[in-house]
Amino acid sequence: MFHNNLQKRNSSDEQSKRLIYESYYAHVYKIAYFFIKDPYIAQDILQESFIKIFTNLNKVEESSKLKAWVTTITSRTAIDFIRKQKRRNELDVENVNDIAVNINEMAPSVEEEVEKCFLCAAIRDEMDTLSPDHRIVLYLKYIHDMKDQEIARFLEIKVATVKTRIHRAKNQLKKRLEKSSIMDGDLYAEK
Amino acid sequence: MQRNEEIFKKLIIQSIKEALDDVPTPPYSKEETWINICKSLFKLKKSYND
Repeated sequence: MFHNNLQKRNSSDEQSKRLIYESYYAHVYKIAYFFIKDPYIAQDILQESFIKIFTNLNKVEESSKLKAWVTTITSRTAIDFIRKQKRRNELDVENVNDIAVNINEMAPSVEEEVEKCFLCAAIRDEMDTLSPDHRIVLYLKYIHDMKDQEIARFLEIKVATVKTRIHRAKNQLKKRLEKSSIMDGDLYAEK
Repeated sequence: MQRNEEIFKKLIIQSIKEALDDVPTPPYSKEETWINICKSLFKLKKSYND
């Protein structure tokens, strides 16, 4: 597709832009929505991200890195938005106590998948209640497999702050799992 | 404990992936957004030239 022609094409090439837009529209919107949880703002971020993508397209040196570059621009645009919003309206960070998860051995059965769905649903519900700052670090850590130092550089924050956010986010999710009585209940009990 | 953490990590990854795949329809159509992007790019280009 356009990857093959990326090196040759001119950044003002309308067809290339359209192709990139078509290829990454869903990807960009998903990231923006995951961070912000508001479809209108997510769409604004999408729009702003594509404007940045198209005005800086000549900076992409390797076509294979285009998706990663698009992801970075989208994430940064979303982060900028969150920071601006934060300045206007200070967000509270919940102070969550450290609660250990108690998961027993998982039964290697078909039930496991169903059970996992329940757990994932609980985590997803809780993830929606996390602040965008916390969702972003989880996304970068677990989906992009970034190290704490890399996340700190990416977000331009201290490594200690990254660690704290990951710790708090994970604890909040664990707390939810405990509250839902799934972890301590029968689902993962040894059989 | 280590195993619990591994399971928890997998659950987080799966949950994020599911969340990324479960987004509401954007309020504006893809085409409408494309037109807005083109308009903004045109304005930007114009401001550079001016």
